[in-house]
Amino acid sequence: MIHHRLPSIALATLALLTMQQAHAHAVINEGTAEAGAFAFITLRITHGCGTSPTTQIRMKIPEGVLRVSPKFMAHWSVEKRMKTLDTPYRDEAGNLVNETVDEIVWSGGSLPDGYYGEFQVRALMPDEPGRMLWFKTIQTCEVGAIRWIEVPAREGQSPYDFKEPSPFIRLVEKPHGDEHR
Amino acid sequence: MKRPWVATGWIALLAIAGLLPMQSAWGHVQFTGSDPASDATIENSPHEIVLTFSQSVTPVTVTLVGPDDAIVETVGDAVANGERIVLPVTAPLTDGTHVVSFRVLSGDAHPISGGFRFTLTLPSTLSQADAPEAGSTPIAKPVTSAPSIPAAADPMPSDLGEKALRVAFIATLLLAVGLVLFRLTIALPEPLEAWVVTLTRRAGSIGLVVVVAYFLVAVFTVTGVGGFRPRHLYVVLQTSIGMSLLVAVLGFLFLSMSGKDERIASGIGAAVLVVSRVLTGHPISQDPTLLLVPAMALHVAAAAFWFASLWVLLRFLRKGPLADAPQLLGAFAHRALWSVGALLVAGLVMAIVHVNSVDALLQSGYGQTLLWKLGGVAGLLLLAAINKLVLTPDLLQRFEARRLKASIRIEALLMIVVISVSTVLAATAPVARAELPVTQAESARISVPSDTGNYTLQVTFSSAPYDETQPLFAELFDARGNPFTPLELSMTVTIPSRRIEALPLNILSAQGNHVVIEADFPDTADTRFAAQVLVTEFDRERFAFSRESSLEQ
Repeated sequence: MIHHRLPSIALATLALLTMQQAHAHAVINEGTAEAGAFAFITLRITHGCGTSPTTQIRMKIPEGVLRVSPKFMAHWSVEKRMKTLDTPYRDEAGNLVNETVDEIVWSGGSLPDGYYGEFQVRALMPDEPGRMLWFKTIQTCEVGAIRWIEVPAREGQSPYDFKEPSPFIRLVEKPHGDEHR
Repeated sequence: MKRPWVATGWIALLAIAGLLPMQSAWGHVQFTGSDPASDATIENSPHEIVLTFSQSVTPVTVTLVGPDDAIVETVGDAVANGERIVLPVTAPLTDGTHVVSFRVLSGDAHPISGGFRFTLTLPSTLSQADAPEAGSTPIAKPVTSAPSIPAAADPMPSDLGEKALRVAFIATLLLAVGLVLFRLTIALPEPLEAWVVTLTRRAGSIGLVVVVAYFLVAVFTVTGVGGFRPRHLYVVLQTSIGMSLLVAVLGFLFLSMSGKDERIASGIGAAVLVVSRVLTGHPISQDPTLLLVPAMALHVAAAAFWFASLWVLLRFLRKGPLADAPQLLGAFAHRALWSVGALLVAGLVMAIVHVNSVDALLQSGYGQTLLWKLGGVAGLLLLAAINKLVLTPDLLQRFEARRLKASIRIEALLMIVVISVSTVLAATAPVARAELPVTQAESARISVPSDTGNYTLQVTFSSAPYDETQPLFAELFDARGNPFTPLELSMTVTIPSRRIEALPLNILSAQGNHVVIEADFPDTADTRFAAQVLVTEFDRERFAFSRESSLEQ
């Protein structure tokens, strides 16, 4: 009897093979941030690598973003990897600061597929309204990894042209009379 | 009934007209002409070289070799446009004899190669640089000194096997379809029906084996035995014969598993097989498709019915029960008339559409095929008429089956001969293989900037025209021109004409900034490459290029 079903099984397999997998991107919730001000940016991871749970997130801090502090997270260890600044700056206390966060690594946790996770960072945005900031992210799972690092290189290219675009925010003009936060 | 021979004569004539178009479906691609013409002497350097074929083709290699035996242009620039291949000439040609050689693939995955010569005599007042502006219509006049090089089908070691399998494929397909049609349209006595069902299943199983064998042989015909790569299986699937075989697998699968009571399943199987046979022919690629496709399908179904009925009748005459003879033969005669009618109508429709190409077919060696086939068909109709008008009454009145059996045997044999002759002859090369100058291929190098412009990829092709057995080399350099070792490098190839999209290439080895890539893809005019290089953990660079850019320098 099974023999008689074989043709339909073959057809069903063919249909399954041609089906496209739905895909959600890693994004930054806020979308925009005020130029020259502190901002909270929230990286949202909505799925694993296939069904494999996420075990590590590495986020590259774009050039010009300073005074970076990731949110403390109970079940993850958060590491700040530093780089030396070409042009040191003075903080509010007058101390000369010559290094800044290059990359944030969240590790030690396990975010199962089917759950979403948010990874928050507070930082001072550069005062460049209109600039796009690309927070390139590598999502590592128990099995496999996804590099959310694609950035448009040509005129007219959109981040959504890529399968794995980099999370980003756009810097907007700061409203007047709102100098500090 | 009073003047049976007159009626038979008419039927034979109609049948001959009806069978004409089958030629174009079984014929192979021919090189029909070029501009500049073969052996022409022209005075202006042409902007392009146009090759014309009898069917639409896919270029494998097209090469223009100059007087100094250097390759001037090659397939990278050739554009296939149905039956025409246009090879743009980017730089003015020099004085002297130029040789164009080609290897192309027809829709049924048959490669042919050949070439021709033309001579360029630049008027002394024109410098070479002025030549292209002088006009694009070259004046052609024949010269006798340079012999033309005729196109020829490639003699392949697997050629005989391919022909045999083609015959087996079409014969099995016709038998399987015909058996189903026969059983579905004519009520059969119990033992005979069981036999037909078993034979249908068997034909399905044999068909599966034949299809797989034919597919493998088709792959080798395309690639040559030495140059085989597993990925060529995929390439052959892109041709019409590959598609047809894929569909046939499904049809044979249905039939090999359909039982006595599964009339719908076997009907579907037969329909799928008819579709497969239609795909092998040309109605799909020719206008008006809406007319040609049903006509071809009807033609195939009717021919199948005729072919299969012979085997069923033979079995019936051998095993009986002959008591059922009046009923069965009566029903059969009725259906046979319809099927011959359908065969003729469908054939005529196709003949009218194709009528323009009949001249070309007669000139090109298919005339022989045609005559053989028509002779065979005339013989078939004659036998059929004798069976019906003389031997069947014999049987019904005196239960004398011996002569009818013999006659049907001869008819079945003749039908196989007709199928074989048309299949094999159509595939026979009309002329001897061309002797072309072999030019030592040279390597070609191309430098591609990345999307961001921060890196450069230098790609070296082993040869031009491209040799599939030789790998590609890719070397990465940073903005200052220093070698840069990538974390990851991947390359894909896209060939729209073969519907190959982003086919990943294998990395054979990587050392420092030097990566060796297996290049086991067919080289066609529209081959495009894309490379992705991970330069840091967070940065990926993209490169896009096609091979023709390498030849411009």
